[in-house]
Amino acid sequence: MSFAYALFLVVVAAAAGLFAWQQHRLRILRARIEASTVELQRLQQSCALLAPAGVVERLFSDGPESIAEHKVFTAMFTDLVGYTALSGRLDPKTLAGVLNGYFQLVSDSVVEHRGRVGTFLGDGILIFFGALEPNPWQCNDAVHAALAIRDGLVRYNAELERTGLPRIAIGVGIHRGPGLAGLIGSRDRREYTVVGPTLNLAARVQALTREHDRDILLTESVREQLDPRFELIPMPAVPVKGIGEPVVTYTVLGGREAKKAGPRFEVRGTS
Amino acid sequence: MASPLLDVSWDQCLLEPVPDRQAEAALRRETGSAPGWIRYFLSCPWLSRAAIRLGIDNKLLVALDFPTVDLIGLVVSQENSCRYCYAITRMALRVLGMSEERMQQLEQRLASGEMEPKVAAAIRFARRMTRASPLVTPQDLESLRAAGYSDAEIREMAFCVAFIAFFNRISTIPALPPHSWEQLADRWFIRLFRPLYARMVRGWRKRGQPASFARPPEGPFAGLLLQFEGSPIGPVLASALDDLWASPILSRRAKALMFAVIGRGLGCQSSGDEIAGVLEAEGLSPADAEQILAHLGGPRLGADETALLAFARDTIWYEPIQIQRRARELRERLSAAQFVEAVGVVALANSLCRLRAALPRRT
Repeated sequence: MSFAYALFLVVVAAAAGLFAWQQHRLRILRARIEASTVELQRLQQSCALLAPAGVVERLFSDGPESIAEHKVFTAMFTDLVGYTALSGRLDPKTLAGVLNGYFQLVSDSVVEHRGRVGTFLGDGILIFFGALEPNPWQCNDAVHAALAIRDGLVRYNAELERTGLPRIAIGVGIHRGPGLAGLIGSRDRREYTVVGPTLNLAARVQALTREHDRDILLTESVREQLDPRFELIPMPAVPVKGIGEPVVTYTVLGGREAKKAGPRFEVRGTS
Repeated sequence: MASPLLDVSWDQCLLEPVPDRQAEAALRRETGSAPGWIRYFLSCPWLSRAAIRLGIDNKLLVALDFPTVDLIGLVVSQENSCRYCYAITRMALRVLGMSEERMQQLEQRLASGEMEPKVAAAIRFARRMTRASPLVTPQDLESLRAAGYSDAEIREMAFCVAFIAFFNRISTIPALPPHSWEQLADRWFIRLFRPLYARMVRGWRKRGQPASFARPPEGPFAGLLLQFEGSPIGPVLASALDDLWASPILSRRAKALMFAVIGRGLGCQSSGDEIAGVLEAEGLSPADAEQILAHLGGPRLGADETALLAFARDTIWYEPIQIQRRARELRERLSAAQFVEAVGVVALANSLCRLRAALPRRT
């Protein structure tokens, strides 16, 4: 009887031990799963700072090679006018604050109008519309974003003046054309961007803003797709490095620019 | 650990659930049920009916199995960042007996793509069709065939992807509150009576029987509907579309333009062609329609129509908090019924245009 009882106790103890061991393993497994899930989420969140969210999702599910397509997109370049002089006048911390305010203003205006900030290039910003998803209204979006930047800059300059800081000015160039959109770079380091002559011309058009003394310039290929209700002023054709024909550009009225430009005229149907 | 979508920003709900005994009783008579959430949509009768009849587990599927549908539900809702639908699918799987650990393992496998090849093909297709950037091509359907799916299963799979996205939009755009669903599976009464609730959930899931159209479908998307000849999906979709066009809440012209904007935004030419006839019947010549669609505006549009088109365009790809903010702006200028109908129209248009692109010819 006592042997049977002892055997029973041993079996019960063994079963309890086995159960406790399994529970322990289950807890370890649960902790590992939770830790790796948190890690995965953190990784995805970190990646989202480096590339648009849709690209990060595709990167995780389909791999980096899946993200490369030929697209017709609209490129926008913005650049601070007189950055060198500004950097000489402000201490580094203040300068960084002014720059961050400008970057935020541009970024907010672009996202509001369905654009994507591609790359920060010093004091310049590369932006694209229609590179990630199809966007038949990409030219209108780009010009609306540029006008929002113009309006935002008026408010930002008022804020800078209130704190005794110098006003800033920007130049914006917009061009539409084909290019390669994807994760581009070396095996070790890639970024989501667009490459091709469309970007080069957008950058050159941005540089023309100084020559024409206008803050926003767009090319003929943008004008062709643009809502005719935008009011445009044609600029004289100017030779541009790397382009055979002189480049015709237009500035767009709206916001502060409209007030100083005097009588308006539309360029519907003209080239 | 609960739903991985918990971090997705979500606005306050834009709609009030309004009880209406008569309408709910009528719905019960017509569709067999009137769940609590339908009170958000009762001001738009066709949407209330469609939201119940188009329930994926409501006697619509003949070929495709429910476990695959559940996975598609998780993937599509995750792609669309729909906390509401994701929480409901997750809760249903938990109630049906999936432990939290297994649920998390499943979510990890979905994220990493480590699935059985046949299931992985379905998941890839669901992602491609939901993103629609670029649109699904015949090669994607071939991949499903190569993985072992029949044509009937493929058609039902495309329908599931499109109409889970329909529910994602009618939940996300008005920001239906997901919180109670997100916590439900861990509530004590669900844990205690789980076998009972599991029976209930299984009871809701009904397989369909072959069905035919009461009359041949006409008008926009008739060709697409005919692809579902013999399936219970065809008559239900046809009825939803007929009801949408007949509804007097928003003008037929505004609804047709919203469809056309979504078709154009997706780059789906065939969807645009489907709707061209309605626009012409509403007095818009092809040139007028082109002018409006090219710039989402024009002298022939009223202010509300312009706002509706801008809103329709924003529902093609979105982040929840952004589309909810834009929906709030629209809600402020429309009546509750108009707003609910607008949400229904964009949800149905997004689903049908994606389905139209996925099933260009009889598969």
